[in-house]
Amino acid sequence: MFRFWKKRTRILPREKGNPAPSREDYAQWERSYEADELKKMPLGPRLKDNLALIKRILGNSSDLVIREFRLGVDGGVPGAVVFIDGLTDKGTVNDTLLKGLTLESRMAGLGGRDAGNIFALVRNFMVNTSSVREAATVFELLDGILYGDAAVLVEGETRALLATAPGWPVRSIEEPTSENLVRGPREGFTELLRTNTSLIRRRLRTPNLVLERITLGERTRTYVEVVYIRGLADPRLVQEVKSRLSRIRVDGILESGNIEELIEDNPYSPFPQVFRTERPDRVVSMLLDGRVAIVTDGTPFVLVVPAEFIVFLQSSEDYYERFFLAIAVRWLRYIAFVASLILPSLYISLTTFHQEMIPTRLLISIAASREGVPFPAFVEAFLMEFTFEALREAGIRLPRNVGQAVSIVGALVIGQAAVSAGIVSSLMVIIVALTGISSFVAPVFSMAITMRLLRFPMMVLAATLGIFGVMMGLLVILVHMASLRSFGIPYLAPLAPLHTGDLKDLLMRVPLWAMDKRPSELAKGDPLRQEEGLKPAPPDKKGGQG
Amino acid sequence: MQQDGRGNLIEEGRISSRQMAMLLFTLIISTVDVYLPAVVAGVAGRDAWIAVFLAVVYALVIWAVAVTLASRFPRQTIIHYSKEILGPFLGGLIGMLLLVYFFFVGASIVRILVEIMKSSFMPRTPLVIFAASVVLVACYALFGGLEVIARVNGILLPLGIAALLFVGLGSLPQVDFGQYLPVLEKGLGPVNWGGVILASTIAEIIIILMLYPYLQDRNRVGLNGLWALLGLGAAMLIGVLAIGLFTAEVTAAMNFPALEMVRVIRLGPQRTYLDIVIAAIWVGGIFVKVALVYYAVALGLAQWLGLRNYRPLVVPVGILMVALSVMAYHGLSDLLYTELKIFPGYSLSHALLIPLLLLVVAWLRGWRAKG
Repeated sequence: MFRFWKKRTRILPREKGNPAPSREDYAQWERSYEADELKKMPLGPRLKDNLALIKRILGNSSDLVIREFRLGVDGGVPGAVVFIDGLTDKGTVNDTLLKGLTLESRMAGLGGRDAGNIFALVRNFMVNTSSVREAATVFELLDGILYGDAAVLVEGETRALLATAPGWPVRSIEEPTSENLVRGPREGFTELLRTNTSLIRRRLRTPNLVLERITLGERTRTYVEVVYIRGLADPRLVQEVKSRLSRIRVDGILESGNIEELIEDNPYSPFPQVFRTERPDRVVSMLLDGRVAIVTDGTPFVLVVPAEFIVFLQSSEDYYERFFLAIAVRWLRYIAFVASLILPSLYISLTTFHQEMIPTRLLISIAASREGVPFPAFVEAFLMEFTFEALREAGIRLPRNVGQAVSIVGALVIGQAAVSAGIVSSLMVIIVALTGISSFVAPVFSMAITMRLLRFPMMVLAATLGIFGVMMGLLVILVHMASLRSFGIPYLAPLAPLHTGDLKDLLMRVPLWAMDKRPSELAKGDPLRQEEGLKPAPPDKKGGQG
Repeated sequence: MQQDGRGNLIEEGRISSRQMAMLLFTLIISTVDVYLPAVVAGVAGRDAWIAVFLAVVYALVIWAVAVTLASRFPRQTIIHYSKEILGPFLGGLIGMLLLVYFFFVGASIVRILVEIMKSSFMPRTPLVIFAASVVLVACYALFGGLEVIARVNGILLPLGIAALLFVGLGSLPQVDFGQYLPVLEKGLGPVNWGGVILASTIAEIIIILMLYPYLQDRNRVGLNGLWALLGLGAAMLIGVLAIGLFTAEVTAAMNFPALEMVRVIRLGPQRTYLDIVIAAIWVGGIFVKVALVYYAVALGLAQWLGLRNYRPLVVPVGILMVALSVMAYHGLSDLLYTELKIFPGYSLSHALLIPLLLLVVAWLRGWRAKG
């Protein structure tokens, strides 16, 4: 798609005396090859021409490897193995391709008499890798070798053989860093698509688990898999996901966040409408709800849709721990979540407008600690929140060993020094600390960011209209959330519209043996999750061993 | 517009009759427990609790008339079928009268909110700030449509009921039930009048005449509304606890007995002054009420004018509502006088007489446009 270039070159600022290259210049120096053009370009019968074409198209790149050889006896038939150094495993190429093609073809006595069906012979007897495809156009050939396949070309053939032999550097499976659990599987997704899908399939052995591949990005040509369970996921939902994905026409997909931003229902909302996780077990549990996962090559973050508000406040550990604890933790999380949004604004409105609500003794001590502070509560709160957010951001970006120092300095600045310097009151420090801790309680980072963001307008409202202002702000947020949808599912489901049956996984976390139905907005095909009467009970006393 | 007997419905969202009942509950409870106990205590004295029972009975009559009428024309709002029943001129007039009624109810409730915030919490803030901010948020909700209002209510109502129970249970230890004796000291007359005043506020449930076509399960709305009314009765009984707390005379002299009830609650050794927290939750209820009547006005006006969309009318109607709420009353006493002397007749004539008239004429003309 050339129009991307057109736009870019026009916006580029031009320096005087050094004019930007024009389109003609690009055309003269180096030609770019578009997918549509390559798709129409067939392979020729002459090996030399084909190799020259590949070289020219790839700009004679240094990592392109072309190993020419001769096939069979009597001087043999010219052939070549083409692959990209670093993407393809050289050992596999040596052992399974070249060995067969050079040595064994001689031993088999392949020669001039086999001219007509030499390609079939190579395919069936010489190349012994598990996955082999044929390419008829230059496009297919390049698409293959640029993904890591090795191509075998033979003189006189207008087809090429693509053998899968990936050998790119891979990060091993590690514990996910953004979602930590005490109890639960330690595996996390990696950057490799195949590893990720295998992690999902290993947990879901049903033949109804379907993976559908879509290629996104005109230039990055990133593989994306749409994963769902047939019979659970609503077919219309799957269709909607695929149609939204196929709408995407961009230069590159570097992370699943790029996709997320292009398939959201409401792009102007501060709330995340697509769930993302690094945990295969979470993806599987959501697939079992009837949701659809989108696995992107090159990132450990898998997207899941639809994602209503409440899934961002649930952790997979809720279902691994005993349910009493899970309920308590869940409510702790809800309260912390609300606190991370409104705690600073409550402080501001109470100290500015509604002092009568504060118990007298506490009021006196607040007044005493604020005595030396020259700023109104809002400025005080804003300063501290700003400092805290800056420290947090710095802590993430800085090199790890420097980060330590920053957090120590930050603790000193936020804590003792700011109070003794009379910039903020000591209660404010407590409020900021509580808010900070609360915002880390949200199990999914994207929702915590939203709360961080919304906290500041809430503080402004609290400073101008007191609790009335806070309530107005909350109402705006509530109205906004009530009007949001994620892939057709109301964002506040199952609270509003109310599905009383689903509240057992929201207000509580009922024991697994009572969790017999899937969320009612999803999985309409098979609403029942399990058999009834799973409640464990000790064996009958009469029949027991005593 | 009227050819297929349907009219233009404009709104595409549909709500369940349970959501409708919850909306009706919020619509009434957000006004009825705040200042009405004072009004009723002034009229019915210590027998206000009997007035509550009478009010529920009267309200059931209004509800029955409204639902019967609405169920005869299930695919239309009253703006359309009043024209069908009484002809385009008279019917249009009736439709306009009802729109003005809802508009007036909206403006009054905005003013009540403003008065409470102003007199109890922030006396030096200008009126229009509160009025404009609540209408602005309602405006945002209106662009989302009926479903959004119903969903917001679905979240807020449980909070509101929790707050109500908290107030009721929290002040219960200090209620002196001797205050309710003797019963019916002055006969049934004042009690009945108290019931009528309460019923005239509950009469706002005729908003169902505007919202009936947007229900998913229309046949259950009558029953669900009945439950909402019974729940309202219980909630109003919590409101009349004020008489047991403060005596009838003192309650009648109060502006907002509900806030005073909150102020007597003790969680520890001292009074805890949670009134602003309860008021904040109540602001949520008021917001739903404002949004709902505001919605009815904007939607009804669009239908009255034959527009395809009500959204262009949202902002103008909102500005007018803020303006009316600021200009209609001189102050709190003016507002309470209106509620006591003018609103009962005004409300009941619109909520009971108009639907009854339409019902009778429709019956005489042989019930058209069913289904």
